[in-house]
Amino acid sequence: MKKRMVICLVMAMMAGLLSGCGQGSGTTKTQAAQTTPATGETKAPDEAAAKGETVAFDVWHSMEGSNGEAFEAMVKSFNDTTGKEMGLYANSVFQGSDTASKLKTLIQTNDVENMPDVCLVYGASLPVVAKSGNKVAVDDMYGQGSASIQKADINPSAAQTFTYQGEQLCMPFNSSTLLLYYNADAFVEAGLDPENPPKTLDEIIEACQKLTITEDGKVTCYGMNVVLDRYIMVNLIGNQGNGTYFGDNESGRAGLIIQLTCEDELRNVYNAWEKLAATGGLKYNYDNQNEEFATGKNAMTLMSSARIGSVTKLTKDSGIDWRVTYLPDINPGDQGGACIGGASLAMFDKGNEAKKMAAWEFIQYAASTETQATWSMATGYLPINLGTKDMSDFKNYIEGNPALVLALEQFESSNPMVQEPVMMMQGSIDEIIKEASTNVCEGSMTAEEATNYVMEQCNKTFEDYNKANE
Amino acid sequence: MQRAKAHIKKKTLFQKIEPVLYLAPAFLLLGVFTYYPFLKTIVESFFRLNSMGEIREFVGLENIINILHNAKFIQSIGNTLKFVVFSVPFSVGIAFILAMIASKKRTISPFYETFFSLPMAMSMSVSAMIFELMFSPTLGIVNAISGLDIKWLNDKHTALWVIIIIQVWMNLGYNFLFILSAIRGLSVDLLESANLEGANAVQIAVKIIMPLVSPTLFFLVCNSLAKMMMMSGLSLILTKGGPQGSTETMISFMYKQATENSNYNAAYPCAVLAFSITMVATLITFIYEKKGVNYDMQ
Amino acid sequence: MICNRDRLKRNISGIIIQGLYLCVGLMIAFPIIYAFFISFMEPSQVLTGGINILPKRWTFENYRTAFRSAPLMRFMWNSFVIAFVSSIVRIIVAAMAAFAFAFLDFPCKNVIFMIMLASMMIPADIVLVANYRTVSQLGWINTYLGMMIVFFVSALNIFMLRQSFMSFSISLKEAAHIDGCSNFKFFIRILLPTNVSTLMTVFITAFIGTWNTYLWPLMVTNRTEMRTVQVGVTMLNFSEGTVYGPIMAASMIILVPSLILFLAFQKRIVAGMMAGGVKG
Repeated sequence: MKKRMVICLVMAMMAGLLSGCGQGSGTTKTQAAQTTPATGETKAPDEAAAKGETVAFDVWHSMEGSNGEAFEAMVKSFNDTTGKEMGLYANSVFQGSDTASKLKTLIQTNDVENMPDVCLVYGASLPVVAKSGNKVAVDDMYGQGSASIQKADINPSAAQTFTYQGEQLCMPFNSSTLLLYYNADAFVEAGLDPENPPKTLDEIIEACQKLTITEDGKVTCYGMNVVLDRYIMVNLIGNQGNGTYFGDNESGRAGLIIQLTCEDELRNVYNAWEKLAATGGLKYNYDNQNEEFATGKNAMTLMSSARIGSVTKLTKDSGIDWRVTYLPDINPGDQGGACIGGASLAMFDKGNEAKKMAAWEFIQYAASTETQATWSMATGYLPINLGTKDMSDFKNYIEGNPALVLALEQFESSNPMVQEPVMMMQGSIDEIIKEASTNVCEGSMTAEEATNYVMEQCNKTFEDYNKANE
Repeated sequence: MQRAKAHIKKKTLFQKIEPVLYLAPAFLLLGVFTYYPFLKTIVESFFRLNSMGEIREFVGLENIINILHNAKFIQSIGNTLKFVVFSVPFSVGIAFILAMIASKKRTISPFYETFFSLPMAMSMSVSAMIFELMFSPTLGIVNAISGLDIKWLNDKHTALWVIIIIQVWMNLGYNFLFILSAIRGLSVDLLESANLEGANAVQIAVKIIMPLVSPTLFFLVCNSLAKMMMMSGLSLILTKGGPQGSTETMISFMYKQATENSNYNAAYPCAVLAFSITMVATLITFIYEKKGVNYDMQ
Repeated sequence: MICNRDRLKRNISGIIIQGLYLCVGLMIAFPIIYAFFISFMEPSQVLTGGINILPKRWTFENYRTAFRSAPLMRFMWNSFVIAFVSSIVRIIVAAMAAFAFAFLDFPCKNVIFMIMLASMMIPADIVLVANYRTVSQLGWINTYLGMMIVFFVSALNIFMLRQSFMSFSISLKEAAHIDGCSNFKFFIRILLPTNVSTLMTVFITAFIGTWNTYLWPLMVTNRTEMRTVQVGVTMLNFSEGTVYGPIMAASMIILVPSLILFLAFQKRIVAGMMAGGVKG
């Protein structure tokens, strides 16, 4: 009996292997009506490359799932249009969530041969890219090649996100902004007006009290589900006043951060957070953030606009009416706006002029009005090209998607100086802030103590880092 | 007389070289891929390094002293020791019990033999995901069946225990197979005579079988010890060291310092210290080998 | 009459005991069984709280998504090649070294043994970048060799085999020696064949271990077609929220080869290590 089981399994595996082998480079046939290959590689036509006519180059990305499919689709359309015209071919390779550490390893070991020509990098990797001897700043490339993109076409906030030490290093590609998601049905049940969502943290505290539902001493619906980590904190700080820097030296963009410059704003946030936690309706850890919001277990949450797509899909099953609104202020009149999240495309010079120009053409294509429109419609990221919102296709698309309209509004009205800080020891800072936040939520630290803790620990971290990296 | 002496001399020369030939492949590989990089790490831990790992200046013991003053690192040592103290005995002990259960061949032996060794076939990332779902406070089956409302991986009191449970489970299959092989290889007469003498199952297990399979047990304990001291994967995947550092182990701390913070001044001394602590623990078990483990299978 | 009743009692208690053991087995295998059921569940059911073991509606959609999102079969082939070849090489390397430790005498044997053991305690993550540099200088990035080279030796396996060899009666070796058998011949002709079970165990554990590694193959390959299967599973891990169905489906798929190896060789492994080669 066991023998038969083994034989069955072996046959199943052989069948699978044979079908896999027969597909050569590993792109699987898609059963669904998809014209794009699976998240895999688009192989260069060897014969054309041999002829010396097509310039093939590598594009690395870390887009997963449906975003990954959209990315592959974009690469394919590049190859079919601009690529074909100019004799260029982009090989896109999915590198997973370790893309940043891989890139860093390559730069550290100076392994130029194995570097990509174009790579999707997040803001955290900016200093790493800057240190590379092979980087090519996008600022230096504007106006070259087909010159189809000028700096003025790009959303200035997005361009600023990837500007380091005065020059724009990378081209923003997929941008997002932080929004407050709220459950309109829960609002109505709690006697709140869904058309008038909370604008400040104080209003959120009030709403949270009304939205939290307890049964037999256990909370069945939390008013708010947020972990106050570095990302959320820098947004809440940056939004205050006319925009606030997290650290000096333009929050790390002009030089290494020496110390935090946001003590008052930090205190404001923790004061508000203390009160929020005291309502008993704050869930301060994530289990399944999207799912819990979509199924009504949490009434409000702070999430990136990039999740609009997932939440739309999830709430289709659960039928909840949900909306988004702007990042909450501390004081009414705060108008800094939200930080730009998301990644960018960086290019590297491997010593081959043709590949370098090919990489630049690809980047221009990715930043173009039409591509950003297609990309945005497929993924829910916000278009970084200012011209996209005037396209009729795009206008029709966002008309049916009020969440995206609001996200776009916040995206375009944010002060370009409000950005996430650039720091190599992001992990430590994140831990410090998270620990202080958790302590405030549990009541083991007061807001004042938390503020002092964060200031002290962060400044020490900066000091240690700078000593080694001056 | 002369001829005999010459004969012995010739053998001795070849005999001297012979061990080298047998050890060469292993040590060559170990040398290039383990010893050399690690020695470099030890040397570099005496220097101040920048975020790209380049040497800036010599600082002697400053890095090690700094890391020993780092409260989070000390916490991670404590966590690691706690983790090891529970996971090693449990994973070997439970495997021993399972092996005792499975030692007698019955009709449905193949079934539970397979089940008992199944955890071995699962990779860490997949096991982590499955257990994460099972222990999810809201969607998970553990809370659903037991009716508890514990936050498991999100609660600093229970998070490390969940990780211990997952690790013990993952080790069960491997340990079970080894102990089972050892038990099955024992002389049947010995066991039968013990049975006849009126010893009950527990006595047989502890007083007779355990000493006889002690080489295997020793090997498993030693192996588990080293592996558990170096555990980082589960912490990094499931909790990222949280909540509040309660699941941070020495190596997960080191990994985060190296990759997330590019702080090699913390990562390298951390590696050296983790290695030293593990070495000491292993040496202690080897002292036990001299006393408690017997290699004569008769 | 009494005998029959006794026998009946023994049979019943035997059955009960076996049933109990089976339950224990199911408990231990539960996570895997659970994953199996989730892989056939619809996403909406996974996300509802409460006791969710059996799928309400069996669906193959998760498997379809898993295969669509990553060329899993190609990955499995890569993983298979790496695991198989490196395990074979590993046994050879380990057996040779273990033989030296168990049977040969040389100065500082214990010290050298401890040094070898020490390599088990060197955290792999820390030597990762240095090894990447070495492999890249050798030009082995994106090759099978580059992925396998760090798995060609394992102090653990050397230790394992040394323990097993040391249980092997030394008198047999001396007997072979007197008969004019060289060390090498003894190694090849006598030691290895009698220890097949142990070697098999080492092979299978090495295979499964290599099959399950993630970090090194990820670092050393940049091209999708060289990826291994563990990386493939992470391709399904969406950072915007975990989708359990396809991940469990992929996990089940990549479990299959390990399972096959297991079931096929289980008898051999469990048949028992021969207690020495000589009894009495």
